[in-house]
Amino acid sequence: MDRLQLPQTERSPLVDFDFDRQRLYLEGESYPEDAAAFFGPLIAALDRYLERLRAEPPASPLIVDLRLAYFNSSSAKAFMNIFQRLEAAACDGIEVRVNWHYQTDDETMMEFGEDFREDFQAARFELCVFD
Amino acid sequence: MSIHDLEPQETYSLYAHEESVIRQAESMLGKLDDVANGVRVLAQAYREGYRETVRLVRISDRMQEELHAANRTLLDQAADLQQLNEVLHKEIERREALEHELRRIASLDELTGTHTRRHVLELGEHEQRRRARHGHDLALLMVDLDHFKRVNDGFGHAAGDQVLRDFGFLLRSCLRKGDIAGRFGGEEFLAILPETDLATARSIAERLCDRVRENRTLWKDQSLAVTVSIGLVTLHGEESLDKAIARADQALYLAKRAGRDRVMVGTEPDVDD
Repeated sequence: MDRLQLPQTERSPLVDFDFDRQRLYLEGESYPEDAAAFFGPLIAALDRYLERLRAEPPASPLIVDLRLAYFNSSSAKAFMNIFQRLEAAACDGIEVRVNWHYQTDDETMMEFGEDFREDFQAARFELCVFD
Repeated sequence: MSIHDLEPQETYSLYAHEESVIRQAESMLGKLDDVANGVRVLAQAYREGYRETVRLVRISDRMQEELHAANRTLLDQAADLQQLNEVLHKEIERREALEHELRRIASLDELTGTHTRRHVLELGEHEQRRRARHGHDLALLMVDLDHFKRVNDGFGHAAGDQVLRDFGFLLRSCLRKGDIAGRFGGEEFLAILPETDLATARSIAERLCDRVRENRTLWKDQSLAVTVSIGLVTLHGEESLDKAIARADQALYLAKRAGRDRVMVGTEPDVDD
């Protein structure tokens, strides 16, 4: 599958879905004018990708890195959509690791990470602090 | 009319089972409608709840955006303030340095390295108050270079300045730590000797006289010699600094009159003073 890359903007995060290397990455702030328009294609691509992984389970884990400084409620809803899909894939036997990166002292992002972590059983969700 | 109305309980019906199945089925039909209605209500409630969620998320997005923008403005303003603060701090430091320098200039005579007239008087007032409280001795020396005009006229003002510079050094080196020296006028100096009795002050004044007399100021290929006359007093009772200085001045005048290059002790103050 083609790598999906979007540059970071003021309102939307940098996107780098490197499907072949099994690494998905989001970084920046997220409060797009139209969250559905921004996340829709990403989620559709993720769905196609997870179908492919279900058909041919990979030997190594799928690693998802999220490094967000700020996001709005619609983006949070989009993240939950993504997380549900990842957890479902993990339930189907695909090894999934989600790394939630937050800056030291950013208690808000840390607490959001702790919140999201509760929805994961099969997938591994880790909080990673950076300076 | 039903069978129950005729003989309830006792009459056996051949079709009791069938009838009960029908009754059960009929009552379940009614329940099916209830269930269908329930599902309809549930769907409606879910639709309303979901619509509400969508609206709430939209509202919350908008509020978050405003807050985010406000937050960024605040951060920018904080950064601006920080910068302004740094500039102000630098300005304050600059002014403090300037003020320090101004105070130094105002209190020190550049040429002789002694205090200015104003500053030596301030320090003198302070010593006078200390003396009044603790009752210890306080001596004043009014020192004047003899025939200084001749140096200026004969060798120029630059030579005069060099003589004053040398004298300033001699004066300061003859005094002890804690003694105060200031340039009072052109070639007139006041020395204040706290906690010093007349005899000690006199020996210091004599030594100053001797050293000035022995000293030579080298000017171009010449060597200039000067002498000083000194009027010496110690403060009496509640005597003010001004009055003591006036007595020292009078003693200095007498020293000049007596032939210069000497120390004269001032007369006792008038009882009336």
